[in-house]
Amino acid sequence: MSQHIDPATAMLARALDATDPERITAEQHAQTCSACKGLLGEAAAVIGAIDSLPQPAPAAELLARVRARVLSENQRAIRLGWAIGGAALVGWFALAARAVLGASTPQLVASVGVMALGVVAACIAAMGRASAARRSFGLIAAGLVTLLVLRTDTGGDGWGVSIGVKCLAFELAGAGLTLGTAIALARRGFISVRANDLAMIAASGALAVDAALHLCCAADSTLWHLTAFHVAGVLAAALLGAMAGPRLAHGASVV
Amino acid sequence: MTAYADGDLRAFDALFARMAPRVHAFFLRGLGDRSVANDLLQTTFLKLHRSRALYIRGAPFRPWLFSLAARVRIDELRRRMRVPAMVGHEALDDMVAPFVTFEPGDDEQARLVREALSKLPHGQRIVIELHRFEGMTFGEIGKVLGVAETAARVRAFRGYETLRKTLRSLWDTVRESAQR
Repeated sequence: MSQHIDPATAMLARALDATDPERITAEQHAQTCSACKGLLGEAAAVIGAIDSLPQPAPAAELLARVRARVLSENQRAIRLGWAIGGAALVGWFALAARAVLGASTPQLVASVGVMALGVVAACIAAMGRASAARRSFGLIAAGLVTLLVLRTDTGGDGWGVSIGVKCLAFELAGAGLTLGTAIALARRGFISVRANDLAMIAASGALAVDAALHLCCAADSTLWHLTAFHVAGVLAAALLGAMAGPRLAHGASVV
Repeated sequence: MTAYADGDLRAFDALFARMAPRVHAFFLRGLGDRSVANDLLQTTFLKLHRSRALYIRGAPFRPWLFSLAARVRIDELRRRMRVPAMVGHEALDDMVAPFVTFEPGDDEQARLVREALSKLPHGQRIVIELHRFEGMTFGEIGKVLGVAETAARVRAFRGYETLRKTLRSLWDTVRESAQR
């Protein structure tokens, strides 16, 4: 650097970290230029005065009170996390079974059974403080248990791919809408969510759709179809919640 | 933060002990009212708690926390300065929020510096506070405020220059009065 540094640049250079190239360049120049050395000295005095300001410290009682308040929220958060999953189930089931499918009473009872078993298993899996991958394995188990308990009379064959794609899309749409609702509510501060909650909420939405699909899916009696599309749909929804949910929510906005 | 987001409350304790005093100081410096700072500290950590599932694993935590705090601080400034919701952040950035708190340990120089900081436009003041007191880079400050790194740097450039001029003038005045 051969030209003189202007006062504003000297000020910013001195405010930068000692290893910053801009500051190093300015200081090297100042070693051979008394005018710029004076500017950097003045800048150092200002920065030193700012840095030496006594820092305020909060009272210990305040910190204890805030900590207790936040942790009390945790209990509420857990309850609300379950509540939103349950609400999603009820909403989707009511929508699909009543408005769309026009289900009979025996069909409703059967679907509620599927839904209840699947959700209980999914919730047990989501309760653990394991990694997202381990929770996902838990959800696979939940789906398989549901399948085995309620579909032991399954005797069909074939994959029902064309129908299966629609089933899968419907399950993912249910998961996405449920997840989106939960995130929107969390962002507005109405509910609290944990990482585990997002996986559970997404899986719950998919399971609710899955329950409704048992009433209308033409390939529902086919074991391979159930495994490949219905169970996989719940699994994919759980993964969506566990992995994509936080990113989608963060990308949209921060609370 | 990752452990806390996964439900580990011991991780919350460690995080709270480290960051709560900093967040409290951030509010106290900018708003000049201890009781308001107390309330906003709680508001910020409740927001953190409610949105912890939205934290991206492995992302720098401090800018994320301070982005929550900055929004809380801006909301409070809007309320106190009666800035309507439809007025954008840019307008608020140009406003001077002359709130200042003096600490018991402040000497004459510290009081002058705090006054000079309080006379900066909000957008420059918050950048300088995060740069000096939190040791954040301009890239991190940009993330906190939702602006580009270069924008944060420009604000710092202007803010530091204003501080230099203001403090030199104040120091000269003090020196002259002392000589008299």
